[in-house]
Amino acid sequence: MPESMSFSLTQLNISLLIPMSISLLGGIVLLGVGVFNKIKSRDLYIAISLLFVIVNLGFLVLEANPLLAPGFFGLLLVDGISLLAQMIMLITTLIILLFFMRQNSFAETQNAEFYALLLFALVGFSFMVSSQNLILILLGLETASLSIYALIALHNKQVSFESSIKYFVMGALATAFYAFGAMLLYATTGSVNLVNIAKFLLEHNYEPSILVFAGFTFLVAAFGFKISMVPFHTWVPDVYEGSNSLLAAFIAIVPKIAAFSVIISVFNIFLKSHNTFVEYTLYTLIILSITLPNLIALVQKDVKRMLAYSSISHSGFVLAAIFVGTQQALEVVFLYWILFLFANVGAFGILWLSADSKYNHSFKSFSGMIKTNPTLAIFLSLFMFALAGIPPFSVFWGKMYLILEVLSADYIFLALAMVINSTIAGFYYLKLVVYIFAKDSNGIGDYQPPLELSSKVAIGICAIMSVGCIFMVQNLLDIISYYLKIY
Amino acid sequence: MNYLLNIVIFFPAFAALLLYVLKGENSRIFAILVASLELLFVVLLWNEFNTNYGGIQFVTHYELISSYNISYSVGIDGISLFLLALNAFITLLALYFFKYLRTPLIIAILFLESIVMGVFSALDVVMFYIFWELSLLPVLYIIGVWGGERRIYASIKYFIYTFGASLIMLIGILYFAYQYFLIMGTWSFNLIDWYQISLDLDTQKWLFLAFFIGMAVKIPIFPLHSWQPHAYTQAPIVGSVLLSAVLSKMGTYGLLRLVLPLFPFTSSNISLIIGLICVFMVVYGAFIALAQKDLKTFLAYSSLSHMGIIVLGIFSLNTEGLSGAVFFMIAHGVVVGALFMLIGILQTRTQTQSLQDVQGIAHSMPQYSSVFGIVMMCSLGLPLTMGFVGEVLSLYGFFQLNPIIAFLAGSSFFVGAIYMLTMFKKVFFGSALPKYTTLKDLNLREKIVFVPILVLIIWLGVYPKPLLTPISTSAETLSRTISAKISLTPTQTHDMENIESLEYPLGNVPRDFDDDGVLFIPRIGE
Repeated sequence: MPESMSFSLTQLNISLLIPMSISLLGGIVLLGVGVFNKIKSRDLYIAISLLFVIVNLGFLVLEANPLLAPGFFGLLLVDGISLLAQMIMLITTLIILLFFMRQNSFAETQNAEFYALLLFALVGFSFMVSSQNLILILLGLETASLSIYALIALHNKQVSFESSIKYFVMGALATAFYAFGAMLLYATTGSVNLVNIAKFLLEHNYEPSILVFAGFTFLVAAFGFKISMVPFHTWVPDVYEGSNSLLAAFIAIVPKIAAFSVIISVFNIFLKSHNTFVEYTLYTLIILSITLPNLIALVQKDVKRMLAYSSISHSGFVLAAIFVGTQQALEVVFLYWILFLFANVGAFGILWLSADSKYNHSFKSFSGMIKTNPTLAIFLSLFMFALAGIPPFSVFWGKMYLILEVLSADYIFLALAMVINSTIAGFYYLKLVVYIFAKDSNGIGDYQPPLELSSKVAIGICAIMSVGCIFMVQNLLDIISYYLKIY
Repeated sequence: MNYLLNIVIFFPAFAALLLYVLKGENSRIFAILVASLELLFVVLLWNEFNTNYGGIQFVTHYELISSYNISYSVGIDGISLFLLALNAFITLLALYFFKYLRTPLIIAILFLESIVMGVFSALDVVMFYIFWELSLLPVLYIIGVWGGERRIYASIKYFIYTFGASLIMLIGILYFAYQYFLIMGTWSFNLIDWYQISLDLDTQKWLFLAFFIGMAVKIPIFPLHSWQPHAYTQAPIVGSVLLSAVLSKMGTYGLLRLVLPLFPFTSSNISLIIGLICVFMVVYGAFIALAQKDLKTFLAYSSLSHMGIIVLGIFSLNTEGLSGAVFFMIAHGVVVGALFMLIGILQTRTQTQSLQDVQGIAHSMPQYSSVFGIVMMCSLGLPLTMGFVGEVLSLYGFFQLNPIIAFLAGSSFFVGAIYMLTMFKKVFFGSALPKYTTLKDLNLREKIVFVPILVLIIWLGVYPKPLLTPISTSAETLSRTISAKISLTPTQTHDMENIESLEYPLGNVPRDFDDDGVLFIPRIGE
C-alpha cells in the first residue's frame, strides 16, 4: 500500500492494463449490442469479438517488452511468461471464434452473452497470469472460472447442466484449497506476494516446514484441479462431453496455460527447497498424470472422452517440464503447449464441423468417414497423427524437446514413462484413424454443407502449423526464448 | 549433381501429391511412369557415383533448427546406393505387376517409396527418425484398408510394435545427443559429428540396447518378430512385396548406419550373443515355415530365417561380412519380392493361397513353375545365383569371428532347402487337380516383370562385381571406422585424434580420383 496518498499516476503503470481492458471492453460492448440491437446476428457478435481479440493480440505483440513491468504497487507484474500465456490464449480464442462462424443450430452460439462470457474468461485468465499476488491470482481465476461454468451451462442440454455443476463444485473445492494454502503461506511469511514469499522462505530455510509444505500441498491440489492433474482430474471427461466441441477445446487449452504460468512460479519456490517431500510428491503425481488417463483413454468409446483423457496426459507431460525447471525446460513448456494447441483445436474443430450436429461422438459414428466426408476425414487423421507425436508433425517436436530436457536432468525413468505412454497414446489416436479409414460406413453419408471460408481458414491455420512446424520450430523457440530471457 | 539425390528422395512424393490433386483415372500408368523415371534417376545417381570412394557422396546440408543443430542433411555411400536402387526397382515392378491398383493405394505406394528413399539417405539422426516413423503411415494405410480379413488387427499390431520400439530408439537418440552436448559443448544431431565421439562403456551398453530394439522390431529379430507374419499375410500382395523386399531392409540399414559405428565396442562384445540369436532365427524360421499352410505366412517365416543371416553378416563387423550382408539384403529384396508376386499370380488364378488346396500346378503352368523354381533356387542359395554370393560372404565374415556359429548358421542352406523344396513339391508336382487343369500360364505383363528379375538373379550370381565393388569399398570404410574405434580404449577419454583421418569426410568429395588417390580394395567375391 502507498505510504502517502500523494503518488503520481505513472506509478500505477496503467498502460499494463490496456491489453486486458480491451477484451473487457469487448465483452461489455457485446452485452450492450446484444441488449440494444434488435436484430440478433451471430456473425455480428463473432465479428465484434474477433475485432477485440485481434486488437488485444496486437497490443500484446506491439508492447512485446518482456521485461518485468510491475504496476499498481506490485499487484500486477507483467513478464515474459505472462505475455506468452496471454498470446497463446488469444490465438486459441481467435481460431475457435473462426470455427464458431459456421452456420449452426446451437442455441447458445446465437446470443451475444456467449461471446461476452468467452471474453470475460479471457480477461480473468489474463489477470491471473499477470500477477504474482496470491489474491489477484485468485480473483482472476474465479472471474474466468465463473464465466466458464456459465458457458458450459449455456449448451442447454441435460448433460451440460450436469457437467457445469460438476465443474462448479470441483472449482469451488479448488478455490477453497487455494484459499487455505494461501492462508497458510501468509501465516508463515506474512505476505501474499509470491516474490516476497520466495525471498522469505529462502532466508528462513523453509521453516516451519509443516506449515510451508502444508501450504504447498493445498496449492498443488488447487492448481491440480485446474490443470487436471491426477487425482484431481475426474471432472475433465464429463465437462468435455457436456460442452460443445469448441468450448471443450477452449477448456483444454486456455485455463491450463494460465494455470501453468502461475504454477511455474509457485512450484519454483518449493522446488528450490530441494525437499524430498516436494520432489517425490510432484514426481509421483506427474507419473500418475501421464500414465493413468492414458490407460483409461484406451477403453473409451466416445471420441470426446478419449480426447479429454489424452489431454490430461498431455498436461502431465508439460508438468514434467515445469518439474525439471531449467530455463530450456520452461521454453519447452510453451513450445509444447503452442504445438499442442494447434493440433488439439484442429481436432476439436473438426468434431465441431462433423459430429457436433449429430450429437454423437462415439467412435462408431466416425466409421467410413473417408467415404462420406473425405476432406474432414483426412484433416482429422492428420491432427490425430500430430497428437500422437508422429514425426514430423507438431506434437512430436514438443515431445522430443521435452524428453531431451528430461534426459538432460537425468530423469531417465520419467523419460521412459513418457515414451511408453506415447506408445499407448499412439494406439488410441490410431483407433480413430482406423475407424475413419478401415471400417465401413454405417449408413448413407449425411448431407454435409460445404465448408465456409472461416472454417477453411481455421482448419488451414491448424493444419499448416501441425504439418509445417518442422520449419517453424526454430522460429518458435527464438520467440519463446526472447520472452523468457530474463528468467 | 549433388541435387540429384534430393530429386530421388522427393520426386515420388511430389508425383503422389500431383496424383492426389488430379485424382485421375488410369493413375497406374502415371505411377508406372513416375516409378520408371525414379529408377532412371537412381541409375543416373549410380552413374555419377564414385565407386572408388567409400565415404559419403552427394551431400546436401540445409539447416533447419539451428539452436539444436538439426538439419536436413542427406548423402549416400555404396551401401545406401543399392538400397535406393532396390527400392526404385521393386516399386516399379510392383506397380507394373499389379494391374488393378486403385488411386489411393498408388498414392500411398509412391509416398512410401519417397519416405524409404529418405531413410536410406538421411545423415541427420532426427531426419532419419522422421523418415523412419513416417514410413509407418503408408504401410498402415496399405495394410489397414486394402488388406485381408484381419487387416485391422495386423495393421495395429504392426503400428504398435514399431512405434513403441522407435520411441525407445528416440530416447536413445536424445540421450546420445545429450552426451554429445556434454562432451563437445554444442548440440548436434548430425551423424557425421556423432561418429567423431565414442562413449564410455556403460552408456554405450544402454544406448546400444535402445537403438537395437528400434531396429530389431523393424527387421524383425527373433523375439520381436510376432507382428511380421500377421502383417505379411494380411497385407495386400503389393503390400507384402514392399514390406518384405524394401521395408525390412530399413532395420538392417539402421544397424549398419547407426548402431555399428556409434557403439562399436558393445557391438563387438555382443556379437556372439546376437550370432546365437541369428542361428536360432535361421532354424526357427525355417521350421515354422515348414509347418505353415498359408503361402504368404510361409514366405514371412522364410524371410525371418533369411534375415538371420543378414544380421549375422552385419555383426561380423568385418568387410566381408558387412558387404555380404548388404549384398544379401539386395538379393533377398529381389527374391522375396519376386516370390510374393508369384504367389500373387497363383492367388489370382486359383483364388486361394493355401498350400493344401493346390497341387500339380506344373502341368497347367509350366512357365510359371520354372520361373518359380529359379527364384526359389536363388532363395535357398544355389551357387551361381544372387542369393548364394551374399549368404556365403555373410557366413564367411562371421566365420572369422566364430567358426562354430557360422557353421551352425550355414544350416540355412540345408533347412532352406527342406522347407522350400517341400513346398515346391506340394504345389507344383503330383497329379493336377481337375479344377486347376485349365489355368492360364504367364501372360505378357507377368513375363515382362520376371525377365529382369531372372536376369538379375543369374547375372549377379555369376558376376557380382558391379555391385560388390562399391559395396565393399563402403563396407571397408565402415569396418575400418569400427575397428579404429574399438582399438581405442573406450574410456572416458574422448581423444579421437588418432582416427580423425578415418572418419567419413563431409562434403568436398573429389569427383574423380586419380589412381593414386584410390583406396586399396580387396577384390572379394571374384
